[in-house]
Amino acid sequence: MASTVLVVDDSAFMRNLLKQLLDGEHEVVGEAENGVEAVELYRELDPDVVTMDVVMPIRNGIEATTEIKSLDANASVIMCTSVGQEEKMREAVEAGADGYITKPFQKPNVLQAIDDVVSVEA
Amino acid sequence: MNLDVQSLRTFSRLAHSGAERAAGSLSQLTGVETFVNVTKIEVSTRQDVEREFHERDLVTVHIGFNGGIDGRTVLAFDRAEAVELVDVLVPGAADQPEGEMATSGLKELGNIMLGGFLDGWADHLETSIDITTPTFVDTQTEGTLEDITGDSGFQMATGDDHVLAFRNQLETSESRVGFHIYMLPTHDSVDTISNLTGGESDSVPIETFTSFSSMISEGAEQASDDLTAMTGMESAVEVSRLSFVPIEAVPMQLTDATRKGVVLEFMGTPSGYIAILFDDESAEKVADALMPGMEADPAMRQSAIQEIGNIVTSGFIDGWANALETVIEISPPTYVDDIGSAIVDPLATELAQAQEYAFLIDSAIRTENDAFTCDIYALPNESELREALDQLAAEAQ
Repeated sequence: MASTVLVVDDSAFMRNLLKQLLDGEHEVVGEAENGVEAVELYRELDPDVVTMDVVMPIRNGIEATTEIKSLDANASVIMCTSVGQEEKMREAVEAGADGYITKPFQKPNVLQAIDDVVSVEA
Repeated sequence: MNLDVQSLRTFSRLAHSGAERAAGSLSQLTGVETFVNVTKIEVSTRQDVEREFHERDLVTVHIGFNGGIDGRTVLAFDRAEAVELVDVLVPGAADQPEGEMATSGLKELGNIMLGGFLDGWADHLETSIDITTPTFVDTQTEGTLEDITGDSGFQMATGDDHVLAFRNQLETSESRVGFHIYMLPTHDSVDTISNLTGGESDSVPIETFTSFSSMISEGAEQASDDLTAMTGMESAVEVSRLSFVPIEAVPMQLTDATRKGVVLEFMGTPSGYIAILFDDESAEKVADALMPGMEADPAMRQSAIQEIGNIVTSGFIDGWANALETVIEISPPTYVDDIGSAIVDPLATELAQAQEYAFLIDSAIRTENDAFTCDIYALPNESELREALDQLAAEAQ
């Protein structure tokens, strides 16, 4: 079943790429380019899933995830980042991330990650 | 064998002054003004040096030295370019660049330049250094460094694979011939020089430097894999190395050609700066490969280059963080489009506020068909990198 997705990444290219990957599978309902916008759009759109970059200006993805989870403990957040450091992954888990995929990723990885968090939620 | 930063600084100054003597000798000999462009110290392996000789199609003149310190020096150059210079010494040599006359001239050139280079070391160390007769080596057809015994029968007793290579780049004002002088001292000799010039407080085993070099190579491999995955074009690491240079020489590592790419700051142990750079053509090809069939506006193409810089940086640095069991934060990428030296200059200037010398990490990634090349330059904070190396050394014990 198609889920609504909020795409958060400071790179316009990466937001565009994620939209293409998700096209026909899920509905991208919003895009944010930093953590502050991500929290605002989460409040406004209440998406099923958030794909969250880690390194972003203004507010990073770990902080934004913590805030989204404090707003909605059932929020599904997948970190989509180039950062593959084990400590960073632990930080993301502590912040409440439900999934973690590293760039460069392929379409099946992204779809699988979304399916995983949605099925857990269901 | 331990190394400390004070020793590296002294090595760098000695190698630079030695190269200036060599350049002076060449100027006197040929009447062609010669400059020392860059002096770098690289902690690498003998295989790395040999591979560079082969891949760059260099010919070399080797001179062994012994006495106060032991080892060998190597003058390496592009044969065709060097023969043009020898033609000044031996008119007609350029007519037969492979001939005996040209080879003999090159050997003499090496003898004079490398002799001048070593004189500087002997004077500083207040010792005497004897040199062997020069051996001309065409690295495409002859053996490894270990096999080269020279006319006088000298042998290179490096002991194991670790090599300190002192690399100087010399240029002449007229023909812009680039020469590289390598000095490969034995382990015992590095200890001798370190004891005479260095401090004990911050010494690190040389194996730690080479461990870090291996981490750099692995990071470059990961970055290359990520580039391949993103662009669909098979790429490989062409070169990856750690060197120690005077900070003002850092921008000179890049040419004045225009580069596009990203600059990022990394924060942690170590902190520093990293630049991921493409030449103009490569940047266009990478952007095309990232957005196949798409009519992307310039802003989107720039965003694509930023993102690939971001991913390459993470591929490059994450391995260090994991090995050091720490977190290295990476800033969002800043897009750059300028001549190469101008991109790196502000990064070096920033570091120069606290250090005179820099550890420079540089890697080059290239596709087989030269579809694109990607150069990575990382400049970690010197004292923080030393901390990281200390940690690696402690973990190895």
